[in-house]
Amino acid sequence: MPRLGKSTDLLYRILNSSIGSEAASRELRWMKEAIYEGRPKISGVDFDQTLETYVRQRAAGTPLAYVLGESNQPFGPLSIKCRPPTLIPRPETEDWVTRLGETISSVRSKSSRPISVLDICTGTGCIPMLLSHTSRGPITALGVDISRSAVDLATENVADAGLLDRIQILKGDLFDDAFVQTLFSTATSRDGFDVITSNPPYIPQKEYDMLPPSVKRYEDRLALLGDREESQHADGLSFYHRIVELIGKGRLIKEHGIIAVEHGLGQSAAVQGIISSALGGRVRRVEAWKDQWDKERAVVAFL
Amino acid sequence: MFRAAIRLNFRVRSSRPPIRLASTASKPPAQSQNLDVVQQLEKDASRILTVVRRRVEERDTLLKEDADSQGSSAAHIQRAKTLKELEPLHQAWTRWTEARNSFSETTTLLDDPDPDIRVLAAEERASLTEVLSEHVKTVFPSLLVPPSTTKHFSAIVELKSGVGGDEAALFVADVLKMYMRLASARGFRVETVSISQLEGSKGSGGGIKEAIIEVQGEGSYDVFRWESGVHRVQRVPATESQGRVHTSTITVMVLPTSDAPEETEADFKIDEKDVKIEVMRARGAGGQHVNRTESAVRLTHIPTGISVSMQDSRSQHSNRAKAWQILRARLLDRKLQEEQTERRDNRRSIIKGADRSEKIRTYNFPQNRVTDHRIGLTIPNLDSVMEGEELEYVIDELQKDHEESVMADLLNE
Repeated sequence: MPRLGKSTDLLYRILNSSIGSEAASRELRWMKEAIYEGRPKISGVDFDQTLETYVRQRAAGTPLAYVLGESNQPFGPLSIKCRPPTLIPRPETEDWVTRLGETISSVRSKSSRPISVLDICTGTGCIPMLLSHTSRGPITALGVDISRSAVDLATENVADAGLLDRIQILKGDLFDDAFVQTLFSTATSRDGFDVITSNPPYIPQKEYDMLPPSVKRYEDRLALLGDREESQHADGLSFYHRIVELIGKGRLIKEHGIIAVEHGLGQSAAVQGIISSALGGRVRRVEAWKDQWDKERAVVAFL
Repeated sequence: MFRAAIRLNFRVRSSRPPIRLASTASKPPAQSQNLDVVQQLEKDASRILTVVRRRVEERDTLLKEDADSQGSSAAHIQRAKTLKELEPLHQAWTRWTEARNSFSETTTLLDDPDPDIRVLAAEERASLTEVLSEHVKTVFPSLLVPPSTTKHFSAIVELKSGVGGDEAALFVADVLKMYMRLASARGFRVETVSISQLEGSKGSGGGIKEAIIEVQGEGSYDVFRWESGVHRVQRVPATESQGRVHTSTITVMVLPTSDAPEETEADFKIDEKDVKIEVMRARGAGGQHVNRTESAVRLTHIPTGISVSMQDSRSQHSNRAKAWQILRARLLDRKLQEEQTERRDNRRSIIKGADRSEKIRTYNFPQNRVTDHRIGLTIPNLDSVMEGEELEYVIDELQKDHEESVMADLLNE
């Protein structure tokens, strides 16, 4: 099955000069696999053309997940479609969300009532989708995002996975009070969500300026920059303040719900602090979860 | 299997005394005046009969213990298992004893005044002799060799190029094809776990540095396990301009694996706490800061130091799952090897092929022949071996040889 046309050699060299030899042979193989996976009966000519397109895009700096985007990015056992500028799902996110799914399964009560999840800044929709998959019982979810392209992409992903009856995607701005009202009424109809998750933008401006081009040039600034203009602190934490403010105000979350949020390097203590000061006695227990690279990556608060 | 047509390519076996059962096959029964044909049979097969008798006595002892004991302890379960295993042998022994007794009874009838009775007695003796002889030559041996404890395992076959650079890698690809054909001929399913091809370099190399495949199906491990070891190839490499013959090597390692983890869990469990999971390459700040595809995983089993890396798939999740599978297989293999070594230390015979770095087979292309060094078997048709057909024959011979060794050990107990 692996095609060994003489163009492979040339393509390898093009990739090699851009991303190095080790990554080049690996990514070339993944590109070929992705093409076959999507179109098993593809003609030789089309295959060569598609492969060359991929290689040139990649060599120009496009992240692999976007190059192969329509062929799906693995996320846990799932396949998620990726498209610029929506944030590409990270393996760290895959890690804590998988663990969260297992946690939910173990603390879930005997009733088979579905667990409701609110995912803020849902992007590709990967978090509610993975939770749906790893949690033993049924999950219903609402994913919200400010970006039209993200909402469209997430809806496509949910539809492709056959989960439209369980997962709803809504466009809205977390900092827009009108939208927040919509959120509250949705929440009230369920008596509050059981779980609120978020991988909100958390990068401070200074760090954003130093990001590698593969991130900065291709992925949505709105998904990354964690400083709002009105914030004086430039610490990337604006969204955490807003999220806990909303949780404190209305009946967004059940009395004994779970809040799970991803954060950036070194932000664990600050995020824990934000949650504790806003929600005080409501918080029974807070855990700081580490990712596969042994870095603190998520704060999980049990109310 | 019907091999009459193929036998015309005569295979050459180097001189090695074949281990036979007692001396029933190699010596014509020396009929002394004092022993009738069955008594002679018993004398020649005394060793195997002793072993059978001993096993039957073991069974009787176990039956008594069973009757005396109560409750279901682990010992009880083990006893029940052994009793079940010994049942066929017990039945065969009963048949032997009956035939033996009947034979003795016919002795007096040989002197009967009635000629018809004498004839009948002679016929009966002849047929009983056949039955007894069959028991000694075939039935008892097949029941004494313990059934394979590994027959429900599938096989994970790892091939690695050894000495010889590109040429060795090309040979890995050839051997991989050979194994695919063998698997197909035996009705086994093959799944590729990972393949590392030779990087870019000279265009359509086709060489494979390392490959791992899973061969699935009942009995597949038993078929493929004889492939473990170093395979040596002698041929003129494709890149060689002056026609010189080069020698390269590849290493094959075959590990047992099971689809039904519950089956293997019972005798073999890995404690997750003993396994260190490493994801490759530091991510710096990680998270939103980085979008490199980083899927490589390495598992290390701390107590044994066995480590497995996997980076074949774009999915870290998938790499992790495959790495676990390989780790399980390596640990299970290690356990089996330990058990075999234990058994070996109690025996005098040498069980072949246990040393993984042993050169087990040479493929000589210019002379079109393949030699398996463990049993001194040479096949003068290399192409047929590479096609898989003659390889099946080699494996059958290795299996037979193994059974003969086991039998020899039994008789020497």
